[in-house]
Amino acid sequence: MQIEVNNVTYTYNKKRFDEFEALKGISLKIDKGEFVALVGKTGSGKSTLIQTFNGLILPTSGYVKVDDFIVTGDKKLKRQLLKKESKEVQILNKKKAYLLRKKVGMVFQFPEYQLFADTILKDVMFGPLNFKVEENLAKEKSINALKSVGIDESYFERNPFELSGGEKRRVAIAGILASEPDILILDEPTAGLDPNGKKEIMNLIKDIHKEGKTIILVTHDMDVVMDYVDKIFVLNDGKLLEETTPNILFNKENILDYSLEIPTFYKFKNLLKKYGFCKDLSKINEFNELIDIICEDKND
Amino acid sequence: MTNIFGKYTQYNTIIHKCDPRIKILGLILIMVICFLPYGSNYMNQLAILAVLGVVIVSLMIIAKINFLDFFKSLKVMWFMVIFLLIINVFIPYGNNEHVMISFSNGYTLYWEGVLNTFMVVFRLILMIALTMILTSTTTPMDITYGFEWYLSPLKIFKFPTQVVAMTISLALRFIPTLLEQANRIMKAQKSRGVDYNRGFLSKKIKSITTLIVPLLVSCFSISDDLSLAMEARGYDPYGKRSRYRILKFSIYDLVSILFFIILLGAFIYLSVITNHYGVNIIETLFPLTEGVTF
Repeated sequence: MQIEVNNVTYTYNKKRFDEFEALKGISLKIDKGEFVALVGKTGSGKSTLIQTFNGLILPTSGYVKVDDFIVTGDKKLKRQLLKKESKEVQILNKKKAYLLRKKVGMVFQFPEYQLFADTILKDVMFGPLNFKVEENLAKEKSINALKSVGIDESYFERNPFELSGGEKRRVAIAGILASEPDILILDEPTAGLDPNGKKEIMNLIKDIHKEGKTIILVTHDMDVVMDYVDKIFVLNDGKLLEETTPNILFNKENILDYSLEIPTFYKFKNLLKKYGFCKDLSKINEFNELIDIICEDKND
Repeated sequence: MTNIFGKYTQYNTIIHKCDPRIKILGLILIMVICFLPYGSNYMNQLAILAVLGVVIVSLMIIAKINFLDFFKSLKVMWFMVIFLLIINVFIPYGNNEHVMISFSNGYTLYWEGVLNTFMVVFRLILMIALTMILTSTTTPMDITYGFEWYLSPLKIFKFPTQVVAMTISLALRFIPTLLEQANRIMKAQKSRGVDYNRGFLSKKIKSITTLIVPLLVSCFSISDDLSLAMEARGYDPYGKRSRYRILKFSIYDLVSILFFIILLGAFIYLSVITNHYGVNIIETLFPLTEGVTF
């Protein structure tokens, strides 16, 4: 188990007039090398939940365990949990807690806003340097990261603010990748991009996944979920509603109750059904299969 | 986004209902009261400040201000307190009697310096409390309307009061937006390993640049968008604008005006008799305590 979320609750502005309970007891597990998506309507607690994974938000109660790191705001619970662990884990949790941020790379929504340095290479090197990687090695890692997101060498000395939106986003993602995280969390990576840019970013993420990294995706774009993701966690109102795969979820009769957008493919399938397409479509989950079956139908 | 100093909180108290113009006036009047001189007798000064403190705290209670927020907003003052303490203790003025440290070359430090610092700091705290009452009971919009109204005499000299008011209201409107943005950028940089809390000054300055540069960039892009959006909806800075909310005079306003006038009168009277005629109020009010002086 790489990430273990155990009965986590989180309350914003505790004991104030605008107190708001964002997470109401969530438990879930994510294995190493999985490609998962967190979906749910706005305000369902997705963003809050992912921020607990790298300790930006400390759970009010319950805990998140990422490999050996324990994240919780409940000091008593943390002490109890640490007692059971070995000495090395205790030291890791107490003195080297910043390494959690290295392990869990987080790409926020509109990551282009995090760029600040005067050259692209410097900006990407910023992450590894913070995690105390030597300068030469940091440079090497940054160059690799930039190349992997498809930024050409001629760009390295340019000012990041001169780039286009899509390029900026790729540089920002490279900034996270340069720290070589084991787990990559992306909050709405495709928001505000054109279809081509979307495809580029998602293929990039898929390549990163192939390297054996765990990917956690928060998104409203169900087409992306359908095409790339292995496992889905559906959140609603701070609770975990369901843990399924895309095929099972989108084939459900009551899918509209989840207030999720239906992927284009399933919309099309529903339309076919509605206008009396006679073949059984319940087992068809890909465009190619659907095209085949439609061709067959025509030939008949 | 917690504890923004003076964030508007929606309640339905008398102070919330009051006209913003009167609240602004009252704020200025009580601030003046805070900084009036009250003679040279320390006991008197402390007593008067205590009374003022009680008045302001009761106003805060009426306005349902979260005291926790208030104390948190005072945390930023400690640097100023130390600065004032050093100035006040090392540069003695007024009547000093109680020696703290006497150096061999005749330079002496007095306890009165500490007391002076305390009183200045207390006055500043009262001032912060007052502004907090204003900002947490009045929407930024209303505050701007109030200011615009006070600026309106300047229209005679062709001073563009509307433009100023619009500028102020936009600035106020975008404080929460920018804070949110700053929060977001900070989280993103924290994920890249920046620690904003620890490290020496040089390191801190370096980590602050990682926040300020992106914030400025997004600030400019926001203002660019905003100006276009305003122009698209036909904004003309010098045109006459009607408004949605019209300020009206109500019974609460009359009561609060009376309250401010009485308060101001009373404290000016106190100031005059203590400062000008040297009356010792405590001795006059409580003859039994005669002889207790500081």
